[in-house]
Amino acid sequence: MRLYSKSVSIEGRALSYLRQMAGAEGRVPGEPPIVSMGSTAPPFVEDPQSVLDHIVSDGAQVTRPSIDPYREPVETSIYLFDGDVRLSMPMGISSLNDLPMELVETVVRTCYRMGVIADLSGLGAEPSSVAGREDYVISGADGVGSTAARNVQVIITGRDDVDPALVRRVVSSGRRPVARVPATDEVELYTALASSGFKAIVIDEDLEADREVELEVAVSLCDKALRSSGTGTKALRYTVNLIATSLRLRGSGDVFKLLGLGAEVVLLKDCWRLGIDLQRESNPRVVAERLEHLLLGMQKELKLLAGAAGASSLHSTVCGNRELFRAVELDDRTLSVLGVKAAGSW
Amino acid sequence: MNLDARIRRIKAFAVSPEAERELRRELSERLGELEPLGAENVDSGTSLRSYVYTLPDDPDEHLVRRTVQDLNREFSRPSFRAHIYSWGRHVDVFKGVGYPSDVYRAYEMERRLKGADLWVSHTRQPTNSPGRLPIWSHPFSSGEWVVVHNGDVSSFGANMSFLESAGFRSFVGTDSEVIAFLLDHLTSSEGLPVEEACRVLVNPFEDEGDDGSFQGMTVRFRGARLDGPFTVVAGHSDGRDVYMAVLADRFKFRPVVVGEDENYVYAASEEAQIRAVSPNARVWTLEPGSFMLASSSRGILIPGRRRVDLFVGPQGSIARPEPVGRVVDASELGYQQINGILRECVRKGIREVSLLNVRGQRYIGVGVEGTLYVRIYGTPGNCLANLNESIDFEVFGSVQDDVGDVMHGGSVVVHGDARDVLGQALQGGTVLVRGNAGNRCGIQMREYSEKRPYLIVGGRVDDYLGEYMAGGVIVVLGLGYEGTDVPVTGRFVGTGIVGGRIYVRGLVPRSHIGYLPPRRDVLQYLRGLHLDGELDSATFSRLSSCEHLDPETLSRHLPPDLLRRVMKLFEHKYFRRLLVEERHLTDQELKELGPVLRLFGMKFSMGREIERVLEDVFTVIRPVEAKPQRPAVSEEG
Repeated sequence: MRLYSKSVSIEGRALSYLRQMAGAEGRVPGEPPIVSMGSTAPPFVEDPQSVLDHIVSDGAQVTRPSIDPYREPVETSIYLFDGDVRLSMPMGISSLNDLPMELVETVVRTCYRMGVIADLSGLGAEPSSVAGREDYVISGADGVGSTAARNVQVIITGRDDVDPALVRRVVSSGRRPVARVPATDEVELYTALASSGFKAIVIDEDLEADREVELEVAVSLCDKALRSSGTGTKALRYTVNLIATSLRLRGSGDVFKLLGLGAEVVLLKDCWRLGIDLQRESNPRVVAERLEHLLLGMQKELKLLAGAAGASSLHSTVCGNRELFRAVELDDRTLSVLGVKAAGSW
Repeated sequence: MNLDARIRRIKAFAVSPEAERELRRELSERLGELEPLGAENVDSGTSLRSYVYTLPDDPDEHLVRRTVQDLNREFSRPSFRAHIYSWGRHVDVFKGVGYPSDVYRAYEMERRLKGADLWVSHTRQPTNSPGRLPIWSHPFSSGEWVVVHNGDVSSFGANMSFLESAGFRSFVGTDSEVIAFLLDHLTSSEGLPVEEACRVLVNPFEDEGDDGSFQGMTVRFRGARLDGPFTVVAGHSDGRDVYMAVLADRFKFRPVVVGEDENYVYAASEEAQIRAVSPNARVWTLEPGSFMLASSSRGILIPGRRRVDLFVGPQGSIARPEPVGRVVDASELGYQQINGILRECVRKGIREVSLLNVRGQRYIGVGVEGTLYVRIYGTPGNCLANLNESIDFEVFGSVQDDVGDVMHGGSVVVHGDARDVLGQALQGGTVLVRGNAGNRCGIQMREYSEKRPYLIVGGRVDDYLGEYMAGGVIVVLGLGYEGTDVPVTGRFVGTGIVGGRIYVRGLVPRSHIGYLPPRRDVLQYLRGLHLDGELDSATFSRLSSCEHLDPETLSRHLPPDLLRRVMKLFEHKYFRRLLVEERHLTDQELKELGPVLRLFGMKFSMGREIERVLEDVFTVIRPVEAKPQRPAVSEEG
């Protein structure tokens, strides 16, 4: 059961910030447009549009000072697949399926330079630029078909779809099986995926399922379920990476909150396309430059958010750290499912 | 901690005799026969009493651990009835609420002081807890670990999640307890050696060491890495030896010193505390993100700093000249009394005062105006000479944290070491330290009208030297480090600097200057350019073998268009390129710095060495767009 509609349009201020960071608007590309303690952000002033909008970062205080990420290190790197692949920041670029191949090539190359994942999901033909960049690409075609990518996507909508033989085939071909699943509260699906050998689970809110829940709820449920199977570093949670994506994600605030709920990577869909203004700009050189700026700007925002919470490492301190958050105006059931405390509790 | 203790003791608080009976019944049902040793403390300011049991049957350790977790959970809901806070063989824990002397009396500690291999104690309100019951009091224990902690860990929630998946089910809610659980879990359930467990917890930066050997560990045990401020002192016994571990966070947000003499190893927040017990101990501070590990049979195993021998070099040889002027025994005086005496001296026209037996009194000289020369014998406490305008201090010993904060004039001469945040916002006068200085030395220094501060450190400094500096001059001489492979500054020298100058004798690794993006990010970008066919193989392989990928190295190897693209990773709206030169001092600089460096030579009887130093190569760091320099003002000491 959802509290909010799936479709949220990215417009107004959120859109303008993305465009400024990308350099499609304004004069300082690659920079967060504002840094401020106060804001008119939801849920306090503007209307919340999602469960994420009810979650606020608790922030640092006297005994736990904030960190100035412009002068001191806040580590945004994420290590995936047992430490085999290092991302410079916990993000990836998705929604490439309707782009001309020339632009797909550009995006794959740019993602590699920036140390983020390119998600080719839904793409029929595979760009040649995957060669040499295999670790930083999730394959487009579903299943083991022909792909150069090291990370092979398998779309799974229910527990019946989990096919251990397929997983074994992918592994024996020297590649990593990645399950792409809808946002569901069917936690048995998540544990079944992890125990059958998938190396990553992509929770994609835009896939349909019978028991759909909000992406943030699904991420939190998945994180908790995997933590409670197995002990310590042998828990399933430490054998599989959790990736989240949805069309409605608006920027680094949403990314930061999804990390705190347990995701390690967030794949950007509409927001990057709107930010670099793909509708009007198709020159690969400009697209590449804007995408770099957008990612660098969002990386700085993530550092500012982590720094404000006194956290200097996204991977070890922020991922799965619900204690950094408090929730405003959420019902008890949702609070307990998310594992986030109500504002004011210690 | 006691190595010889061989019987497992379970210690618990209970709110009532009924709760105690119920807990005892549950314990014996799960762990076998219990031998109650009665109530331990009668009054620690609360209604709780502490009960002690021994377990003659010696059940399996993991069963005990699980039982403790289960019972602590059961007895905490719906309302709190009892809590087991210690259950090791070698650990004995005493917790209470009140002043240390109250707790000492409540437990009748006098009759217990018959000896132990390690004592750990701490007084504070535990972080993020109401603190009114002793269940929240330090120390925290788990298995054969005991932990005290100063700080507030921001990774708390991530650590809790990790522990929950490791089977920990009951938490009193403070981060310090979590640290004890983490150490116990890593060493007893994950099988890590003590030193690896400590290394995971202190959470070194990704770029540190950079040999990749530890990277896998930090990823695998990421849920056990600590972030945010912490100084931890931990005790542990594996049944064969007793260990003391002292951990400092990666930013070194909390004070810590360790010390050693012929018989003991010490750790404390302040040097004065160690000196009170052992006046001539060798004392040093930990590098940020490091730990000290010692064992009772083998002594110091890991010192928490490179080349401790050089670091503690001058301590033993501090000359203590005869007191001058009015002589005051400060051993029984509080800081207000000391400052009252200083004020009285100014009023009476006494020009010289000697304070003997100074033992950690803070704020000495704060609020005292006038001309005065103050000799300090002993270890003055934090915040010496803050806001000082005209007093000249000379300390025959080491000073602690935050010396000379917002000082406008006068001087501070230190014959030993200085600890963290020396000369913060220093804006006039002279600070001379013969030994080393700690973290965040000379941050936010500035100059105005005719005021220009000079901060001279004889030895080496740790991270963030001159961070946010806006004026004034810092000189780090690295005396004693010549010919070693130990850089005389830590990392992040001059980050956020907008004015002033930093002189470091010898060469500073480029990766230590300013704040650079992670080397791996830059390398990834370069590798991408290479794959894209934009960067030739030769240049790429040359760059990837460079130890430091700083703007200057890049600009030497890359064509302008590629340099512009890579520099995106470095630049931001507050980015300033630093001008870094490795050269001899100019005539103008010799004219300006000569007098203050010669004063340093005179004060510390190193005149000849200083003349040689003046001819050496310095690394000079300043912002490219520095404010125009005023003509040099020579300040005679």
